[in-house]
Amino acid sequence: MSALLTVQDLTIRFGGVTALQQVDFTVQAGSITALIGPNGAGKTTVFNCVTGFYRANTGSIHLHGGANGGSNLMALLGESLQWSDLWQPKRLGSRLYHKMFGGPHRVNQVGVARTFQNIRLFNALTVMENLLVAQHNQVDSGLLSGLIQSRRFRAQEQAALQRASAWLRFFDLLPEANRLAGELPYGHQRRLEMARALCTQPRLLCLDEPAAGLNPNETKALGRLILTLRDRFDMTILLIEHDMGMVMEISDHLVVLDHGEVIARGTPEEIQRDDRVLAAYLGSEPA
Amino acid sequence: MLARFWMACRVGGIALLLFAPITGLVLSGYRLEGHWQTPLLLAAVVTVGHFLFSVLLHHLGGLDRLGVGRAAALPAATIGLSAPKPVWIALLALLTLSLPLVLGKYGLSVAILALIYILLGLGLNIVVGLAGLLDLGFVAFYAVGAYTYALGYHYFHLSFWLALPLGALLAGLFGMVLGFPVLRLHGDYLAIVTLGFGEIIRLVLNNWVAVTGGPNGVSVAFPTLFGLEFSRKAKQGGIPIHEFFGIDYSANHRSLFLYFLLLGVVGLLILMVIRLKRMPIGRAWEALRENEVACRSLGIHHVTVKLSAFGLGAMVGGVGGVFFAALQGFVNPSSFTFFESAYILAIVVLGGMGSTSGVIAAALLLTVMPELLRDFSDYRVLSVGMAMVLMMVWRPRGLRQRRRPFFALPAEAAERVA
Amino acid sequence: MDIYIFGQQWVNGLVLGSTYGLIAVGYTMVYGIIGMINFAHGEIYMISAYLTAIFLALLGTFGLQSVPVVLVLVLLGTVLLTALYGWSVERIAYRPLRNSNRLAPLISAIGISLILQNYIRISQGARNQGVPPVIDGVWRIPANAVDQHFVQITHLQSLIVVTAFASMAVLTWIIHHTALGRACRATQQDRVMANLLGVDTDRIISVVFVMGAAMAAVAGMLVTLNYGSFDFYIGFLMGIKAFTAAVLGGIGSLPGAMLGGVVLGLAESFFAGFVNSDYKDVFAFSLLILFLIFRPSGFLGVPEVEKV
Repeated sequence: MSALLTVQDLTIRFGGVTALQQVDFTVQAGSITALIGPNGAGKTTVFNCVTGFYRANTGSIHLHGGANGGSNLMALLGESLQWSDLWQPKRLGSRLYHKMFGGPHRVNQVGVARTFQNIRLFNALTVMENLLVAQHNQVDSGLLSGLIQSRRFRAQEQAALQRASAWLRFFDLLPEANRLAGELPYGHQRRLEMARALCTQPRLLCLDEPAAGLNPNETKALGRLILTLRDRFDMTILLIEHDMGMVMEISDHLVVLDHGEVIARGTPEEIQRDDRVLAAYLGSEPA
Repeated sequence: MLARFWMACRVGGIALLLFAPITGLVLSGYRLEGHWQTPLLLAAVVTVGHFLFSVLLHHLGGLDRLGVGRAAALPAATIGLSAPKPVWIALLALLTLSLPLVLGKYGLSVAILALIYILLGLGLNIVVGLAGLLDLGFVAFYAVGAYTYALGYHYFHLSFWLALPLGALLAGLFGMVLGFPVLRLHGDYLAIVTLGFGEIIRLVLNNWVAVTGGPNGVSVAFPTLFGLEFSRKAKQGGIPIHEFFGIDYSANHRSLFLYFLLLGVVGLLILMVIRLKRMPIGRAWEALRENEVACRSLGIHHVTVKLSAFGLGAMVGGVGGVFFAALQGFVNPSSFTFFESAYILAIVVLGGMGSTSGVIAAALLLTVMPELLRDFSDYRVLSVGMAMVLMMVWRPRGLRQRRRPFFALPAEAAERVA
Repeated sequence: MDIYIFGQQWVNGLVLGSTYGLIAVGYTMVYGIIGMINFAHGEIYMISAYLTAIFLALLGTFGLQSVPVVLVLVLLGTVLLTALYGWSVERIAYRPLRNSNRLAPLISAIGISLILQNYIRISQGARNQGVPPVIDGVWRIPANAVDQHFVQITHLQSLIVVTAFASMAVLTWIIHHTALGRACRATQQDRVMANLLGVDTDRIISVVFVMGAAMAAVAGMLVTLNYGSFDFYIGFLMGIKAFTAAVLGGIGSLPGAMLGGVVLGLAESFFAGFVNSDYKDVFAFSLLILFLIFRPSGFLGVPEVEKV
């Protein structure tokens, strides 16, 4: 196995608060890696850094492989301009370009997709439209070809429809393809959000508490779906989850965060035996 | 019931306090004229209205049948093919094409104005209704279009047919240049920046007397059709159209020409908007309106997508401006005040933000009604404002359920369902 | 550059700016607490100008002579009624939209703004209105001993600056040292949490609208007395200017509103005096746009962190 994502030395501060302190971990290609930790440990902050919504103060995030042989995810966000750029026109140009066109969407374009803790669907759009929006970069979005409904345009729309239908079938949402996303039951919305993320054809899928609000049966089914994603679709999954039963059952690798620092990493068995993890969750006894 | 009565009385009391000094004491020079009956009457109307409304709402359930308070429970859309039946399209086409036969000269000019407002409404609807960007300076692009034609004609004898694409292009360019830095900002800021921009354009047009003629404006020649002119005598070096066809001169010809041309442009735009809604870019607009963060997580660059909506809307505004200049034969800055922007916004809002047919209906209502109700012209803007507030409080998503495109599932996928 | 012109523009700018600052308070507090631009705030200011003139005329018909008594009574009446207008607007047009989509309150505010303008136009007429001069008297500060030039400050102008800063001081004290102010700050920080902790956030939001309207009323009265004339359309321009002041100072920040007001007033006054007075509004609006693009947090505001 090789590493797909390497996070090194990640530190981020909000005002005076250090939210993440030198976070290091790797995600192996084709694995399920879970980020766990008590509330406020910084799990979602890590997610927001990896998916490009927050820019870390220091550190690096690399996504390996892919069409261009690997990407520095932080560079895709754009960096602030510096005075020294004035006599380095090339760097100025690149920084300007990234400042203008950089952002989380670029991170998605190189292969990282995510879901959100508080589901973010396009509520007034249908289920199918939600999935078509996710394929924005894979279809011909040119104005003219769409206006004249060119053959190429229609073929690509059809292909997008096929892809969307395939994922809908996988998540058992096909009968609801033409319903509004906002009127779906909660559990279905969670699955739709995963389907939508997968429609962007990512190499790394980041799931932020996918089991939150699901009942035990739904959680079990979700765990099986995530395993299938790994086994049948070779998907690499990074996941935040509070449901320890599911985490221990499906993860290959765990990273434990507490107060913005990584306090342990390893297989589920190793983590279950780790004293520091126990202390973080239950509160440590004063020695 | 008694509690409701006392509540209504309290509301009425507050209303009396509010109305008494403003409507009861009218300034005339440094002195006052008393109009005691006005505030009392207004307060009485408020009291009775409040009482009846609250009783209806809570006791009789009568308003429920009207749909008040049920707005949230209604699904926001129905799914279906968004194309209406061909019969209706044919009927509509027949109606619009034969309308000039019924309308007189005055009616025709109202119809042309209505078409211009439909055009502007549809343009702003792309920006506000579809992409969810509040543009309070739409009139700036309208002005850019109008002045492109006016100044182009004045200085370079630019023809109407060249001014049309050029006006659209220039307005679009203004939109892009303004939009690029602004569209990445917090949503409400866009409203203010566009408002400021609209005012800047108007003030520059007003103050740059050497170029724009300032408040006196610029006059524009009437468009020609393949060199044929619509005036009695040739003024622009062409042939008058009535001589060319050997018919009698009628001042109506020029209105007819503008009417049909505008009808064609509006028809084209409607078709375009219908297609856009089913295209990736149109879907991305609506997705951005619904949830910007989610869009960005799906690889959509929010700035460029917003920019396309903003630019396209601006272009439509520019086209509207060129037509306006052609219709009036004269432009000056007083046609491009903030009020004009607010009026176009009202068209979009009353039309139900995003609904093409709604916008058309609202544009017709807001241009034809004032002509029919001349006697109440004082209350025109007041009622537009009230309608906007009521609409937002009552049905922020529009009066009608919106249709969403239906997608037939690919055959192979459908089999699996069955 | 003649020093006396410079001094005169400085005075004019300060007077103008302190009224901008007073009105900006309404924008900044409302934005801080419910994150919305209260587009109708300029019209509230406009109404206060009418109320000032009406109360002045009313007291005149009662034959009241003493200037200080008249001023205090007019101030009281204007502030109270304008505040009632501010309260009613919030109650009617904004509160029902609290959980609606993002655009709804803004559009509703534009509707209110059209309503208020035309309500005044219909009931008071479209013509220019005026108030008689109430306070006169000028201080002359010699600026140049040789050719006898003066910087002029009317008594009213100095009263404007003093009143503006005094009302700001009172408001700041209320926000920072009273239970009501604490509830306001709590609601601004986190509305849901404040509500859970027993703060009646709806009432607090009303209070904020009332305070904003009251400050606008103070400004409305002072400006009306100073210029003597007004019409139903003054709220629009004043509204954008004051909003610009709020943005310059950093929207959401109270001292920022005053700072932004004074800076804008001075900048505008100097631009009009030394560059071009026709384009002073263009200059102010450009300042607004440039600040929103390059420094949306203004001088004293905190940058917004996007919540994902």
